[in-house]
Amino acid sequence: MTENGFTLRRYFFFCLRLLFRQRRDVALPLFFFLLVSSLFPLAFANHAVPLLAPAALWITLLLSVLLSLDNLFREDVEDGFMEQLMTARQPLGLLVAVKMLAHWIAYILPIFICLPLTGLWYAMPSDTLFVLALSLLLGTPTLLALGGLAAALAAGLKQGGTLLILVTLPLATPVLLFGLTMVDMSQNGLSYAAARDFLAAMAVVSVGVGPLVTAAALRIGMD
Amino acid sequence: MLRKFAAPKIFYPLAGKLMPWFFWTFAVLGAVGLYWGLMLAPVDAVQGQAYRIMYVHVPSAWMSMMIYTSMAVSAAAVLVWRTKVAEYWLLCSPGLGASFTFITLVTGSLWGKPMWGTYWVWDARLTSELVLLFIYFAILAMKGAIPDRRKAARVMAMITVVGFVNIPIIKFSVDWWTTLHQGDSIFRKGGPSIAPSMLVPLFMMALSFSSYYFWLVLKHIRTLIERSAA
Repeated sequence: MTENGFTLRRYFFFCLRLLFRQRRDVALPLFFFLLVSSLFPLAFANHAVPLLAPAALWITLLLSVLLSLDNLFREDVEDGFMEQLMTARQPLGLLVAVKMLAHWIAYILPIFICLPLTGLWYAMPSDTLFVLALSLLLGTPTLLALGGLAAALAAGLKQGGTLLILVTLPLATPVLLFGLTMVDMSQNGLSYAAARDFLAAMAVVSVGVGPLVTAAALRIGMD
Repeated sequence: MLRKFAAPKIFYPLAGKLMPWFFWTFAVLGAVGLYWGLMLAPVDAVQGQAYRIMYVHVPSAWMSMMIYTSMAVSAAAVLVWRTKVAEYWLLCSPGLGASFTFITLVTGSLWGKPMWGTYWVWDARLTSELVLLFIYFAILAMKGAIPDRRKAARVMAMITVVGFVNIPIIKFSVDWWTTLHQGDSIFRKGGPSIAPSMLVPLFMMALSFSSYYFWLVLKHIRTLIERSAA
């Protein structure tokens, strides 16, 4: 391989650098997350806030992830870079996986860093916050896989962003429910292992199969 | 063998021959089943007359799932072989599927009010049926957004397959809540717990509804074949 060759590692850093240069765009979903999660404690009476916190944060995160996915492939499809990627030596599924990893680092990691702050807003006990963070962490790979597939299918379409949300939300219901079951169980002093393992299993399948399915969806879009 | 029938040239006349059978099965069994179910079948010991909405509710619920399964099968054919008739099947089905799902939810709510005292609860079956309706809507939204029919069919196929894998998981995830909906009384161990005089019209209605679906889908597919030939 030549010094200037196209490698997975180069593509990964390329994606990261690109996202870093668009940091104003990248900050928007994080801003959305903070804004919306501050609305719930404002809108509800104070005493309902701790009860409400896990569900509110889960739904807000779900929507932030969907918001961030709108541009996952759109620019690449529109400016023709996607066609270049399809002719690359590396399988498209691997390239998609690399891109999604960069996406996770740029968009979702900052949300996790801000999670203790929202925990303060909702006056959450630290162990609940820990279980909530764990459930979100295990849920995001599946959310990214489902949303990435929808983003690939909607990439070239008018109203693509709305379609992405319409397609992903019903499919993402189990992630939300298992995540909240986990928090609910731990709040009631029960073992949350079953829900945790189920989320983890879905995450493993999503990481393994998701990029391949997304690559196939991108190929359909290119026809 | 199956692929031979899937060629539009062979499928078109075959569908034409089958259509009247489906239509008359739908019409005759529907009329007899409705009259039997609503007028002749005995009054339920617990639920009184209100149980009779079952003759619309249960077949619709079966249809909502049967149509999705048929879509998943055609989706596989679309993605693997790009079978044209499977594409047509996929394009024609989600509208009907969404309609049956909607009827299931509405009749279920109307049945729920006198029996449970509420139109809606977030219980496992109701929630998964609602999510199924949303998945149908998502497929229809994608269909509407893509002008090219063949491409639309392949995009719909992807969502259908992912949704099909997802449906048992959705069911399982909402099952963790306690459920209010009555258990299965027909396909269960030890045979149905419904008297034959109530069960026969139910099966008639189910046959009638599925014939209605097949009749409409075949009619629609023939139109699509005609349009693509013109």
